[in-house]
Amino acid sequence: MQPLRFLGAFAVALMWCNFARGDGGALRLSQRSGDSRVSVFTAPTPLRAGKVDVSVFLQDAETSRPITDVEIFVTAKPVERRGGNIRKRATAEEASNKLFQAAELELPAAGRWEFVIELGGRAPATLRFETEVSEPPPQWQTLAPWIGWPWLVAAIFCVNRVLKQRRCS
Amino acid sequence: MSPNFEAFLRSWPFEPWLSASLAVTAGVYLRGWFDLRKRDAARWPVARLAAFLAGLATIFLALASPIEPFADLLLQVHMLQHLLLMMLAPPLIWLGAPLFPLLRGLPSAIRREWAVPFLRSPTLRRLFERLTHPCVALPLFVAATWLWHAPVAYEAALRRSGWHYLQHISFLTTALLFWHPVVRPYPSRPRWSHWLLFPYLIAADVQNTVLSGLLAFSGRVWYSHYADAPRVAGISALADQAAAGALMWVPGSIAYLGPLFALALRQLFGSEERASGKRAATANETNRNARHAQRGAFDHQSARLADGAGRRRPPARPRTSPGFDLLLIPLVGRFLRWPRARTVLQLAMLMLAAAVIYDGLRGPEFGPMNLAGVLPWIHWRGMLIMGLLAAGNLGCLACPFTLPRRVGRRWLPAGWHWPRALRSKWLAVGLLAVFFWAYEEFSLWDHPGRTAWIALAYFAAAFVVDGLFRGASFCKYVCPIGQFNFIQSLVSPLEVKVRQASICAACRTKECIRGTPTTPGCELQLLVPQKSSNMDCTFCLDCVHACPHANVGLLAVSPGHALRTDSPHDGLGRLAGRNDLAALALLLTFGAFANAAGMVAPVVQALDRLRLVVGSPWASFVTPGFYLAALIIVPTILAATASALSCSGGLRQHGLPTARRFSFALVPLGFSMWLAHYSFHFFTSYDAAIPVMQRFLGDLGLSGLGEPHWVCGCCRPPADWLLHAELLFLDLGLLLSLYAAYRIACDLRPTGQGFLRTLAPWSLLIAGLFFAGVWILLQPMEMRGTLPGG
Repeated sequence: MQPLRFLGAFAVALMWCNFARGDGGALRLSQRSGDSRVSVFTAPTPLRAGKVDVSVFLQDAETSRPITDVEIFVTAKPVERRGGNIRKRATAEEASNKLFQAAELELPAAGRWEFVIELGGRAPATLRFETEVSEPPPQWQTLAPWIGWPWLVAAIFCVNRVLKQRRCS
Repeated sequence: MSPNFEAFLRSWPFEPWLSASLAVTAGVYLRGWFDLRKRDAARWPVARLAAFLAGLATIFLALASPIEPFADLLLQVHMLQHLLLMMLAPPLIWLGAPLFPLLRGLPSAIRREWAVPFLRSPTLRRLFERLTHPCVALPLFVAATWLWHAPVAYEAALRRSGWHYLQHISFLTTALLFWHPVVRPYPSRPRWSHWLLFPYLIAADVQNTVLSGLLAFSGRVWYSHYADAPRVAGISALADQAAAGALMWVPGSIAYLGPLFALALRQLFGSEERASGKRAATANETNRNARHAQRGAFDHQSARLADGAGRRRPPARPRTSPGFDLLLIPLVGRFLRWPRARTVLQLAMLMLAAAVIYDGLRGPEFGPMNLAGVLPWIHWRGMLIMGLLAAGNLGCLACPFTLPRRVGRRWLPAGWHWPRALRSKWLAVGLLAVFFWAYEEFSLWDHPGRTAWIALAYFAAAFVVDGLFRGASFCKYVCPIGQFNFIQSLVSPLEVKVRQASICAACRTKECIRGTPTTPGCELQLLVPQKSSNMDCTFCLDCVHACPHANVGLLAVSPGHALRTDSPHDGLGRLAGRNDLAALALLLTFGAFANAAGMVAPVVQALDRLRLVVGSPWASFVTPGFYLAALIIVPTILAATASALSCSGGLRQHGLPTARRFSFALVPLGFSMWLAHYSFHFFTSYDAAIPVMQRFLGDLGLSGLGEPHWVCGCCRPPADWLLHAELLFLDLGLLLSLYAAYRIACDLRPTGQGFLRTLAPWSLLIAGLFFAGVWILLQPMEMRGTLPGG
């Protein structure tokens, strides 16, 4: 019972894991907007339909001091069709790196998407960039570690038994 | 405080995989270290523990602290991360001499069965010795350092998280190999001269100096990622690179030259270890002999420690603690020991059943709005299977159908013997097959009236059968739910068992089966000392209350042990000796997959297409045909084929006994499929009961719970973790099934050729079922019992 309890507790702990990196990723845009410099990162790289993370890093253009008190909204728009816009507020809580404000968006389909970053505060501004979003990988591929690990355990067990038998013989 | 630094201090990434792995490793080490320290405090000082824990903390700091998110913005932070992984964590871990503490800290079964064969393998030990030889470890370490600092590789690691993980793993692994010969953690005994470490560390320092110098003094930014990245704290990309180079240079050199200095002192002025080594060498005349002796000592000691023989054991005495016992847990145990506990649970379930029947017959004939459409098919099934996973047959413990039989026994004779021809599980096998078909054919989840009538029929059957016949004939021979619980509880972690066998051996009165004037004995005629599994045990706890010695408990057992060992069972014989039990195991295993497949879109669409193709009147045979094939024809063919293939290797027993024995190996996988399926419904729709209950009470004129908010009863997309949990259940079921098949094959053919031929067909069958289960779980599923829209 004890080893099973031990393995069970470990397995349960791992069940709550999230593979996605909270923020950062590829730099999509870095430009000056008024008194500030805006850098936008997206993850994963390359972007795929499904959950994507858009992180915005706002700095004072002169001093490089981070600006974190500006309200930022991120909107994703499919370029090739109308409607289906996804808008979400970027917050520091969603970002691992607290210099950033991040928003997690669920892109329903692959294709060309336009991302619009709306900055609030004293000098409101809107920045845009377009990028290609590829098809998500097949579900079995993203879940491969969950499906594959027992086979690894079984393989180790087989090696273990062979070694044990060799020693006995 | 600078805003950048303040943000840095708050930027802690969420890394549960890493944190859990490090926590488990630390726990295992601590457990082993305490154990070893009790035996030899001088060899296991606190410094070793501190070093090892500091090593783990360094890994945590490198990968799960603000360093990780800031490594994307500043090369110097990234360099710091790599330095922690390569220069600090590995020597600290080796200073903890982790081999023996980790080995001793593992649970004994894992240590003996899993770790020892690897540790004793001469091939693996030779490989490790070669990898940690300075002539191999240094080139590996240098290669990893230089290759990953090439711009192409470094950029790839910055862009793709997969490459980043690989980079960290290769840094840590090669660094562990590199630092092993320097630290020489106990009990390793290098077979090369200590003087070799001088050129070893100097060479490492030289390559580090060259690389860091190139980085620090370069006139261009090596990595375009950092050239493009926004500047933090006004640090330019080139200045950042120079700082990274300096960081690599100075602390790196200290890390290499510090041990070199210590080593030089030790070689020059000697040490206790060296002196003892010298004495050993003298005693054995030649260096070679000394090394062999040391290696032999290591072998002997590691084997003793691994086997647990190293501990100075007290004289053998009878085991007094039978392990975990649910009945001894403060609140739950006290409640379960209370003689009226079962009645209370049954009354609660009876009230719910009465509400289900009433609402099913009088309420709206629409499943998601009726208690009979929600409570039995979402909540009761989910909690039943989770109860089986967590404890055991709690479903039978709280069964409301057995309450009216007490009344029946007063009114009816209750003295007849159950017909001999029906004293098997065949009737229940048939009823279960019919139920699986009827559930799909009549869409029971969506017809509360039908569900209510089934519940009523259940009460009537229990009343009549137990009113006319002796014992708990209904539970033992008729109840399909009971048979489901009996088979699935073979995988449960708890079992009604005796605490000390010696007390039962001396007992002559056997109240556990005969009962006392105030408490009945086991109605299913199971003698607890001879019980070897949960089969046929309703967890009624009558034996617990009847035993005058308080010697019956709900004890922890290895899940599925009865499936592997096939011990004789009181009142049942050997499980694998009975065709009806094997058929029940097969039916419930394949039933799990058929029942789940019946609600996934591709199967539903395929059956609909088939109905259109065959047309009327054959269309009405499609669902029965599907269940006939899935529950009877396919399992029979597969089991017969696997059995025939197993026997073709020259097995002494015939096909049928082989099939019976191996059928039980499939039970854990079937259990995991039921668990995945029912937990899906439960967790996606658990709050569907709230508006239904509000409506039900409102209909009765009790509006205390307010108006129903039907939005709560709508289907919602399953959470990410739920699919992970479902796959995890299936994974564990697969492993338990494969292990059971392995143990059965060992029993049937302990040695010799043909072992694989015996095991392989059943392993393939288990693998096939596993992949079928994965496929089912990845399909879109119908949200039965909930409202269709948001």
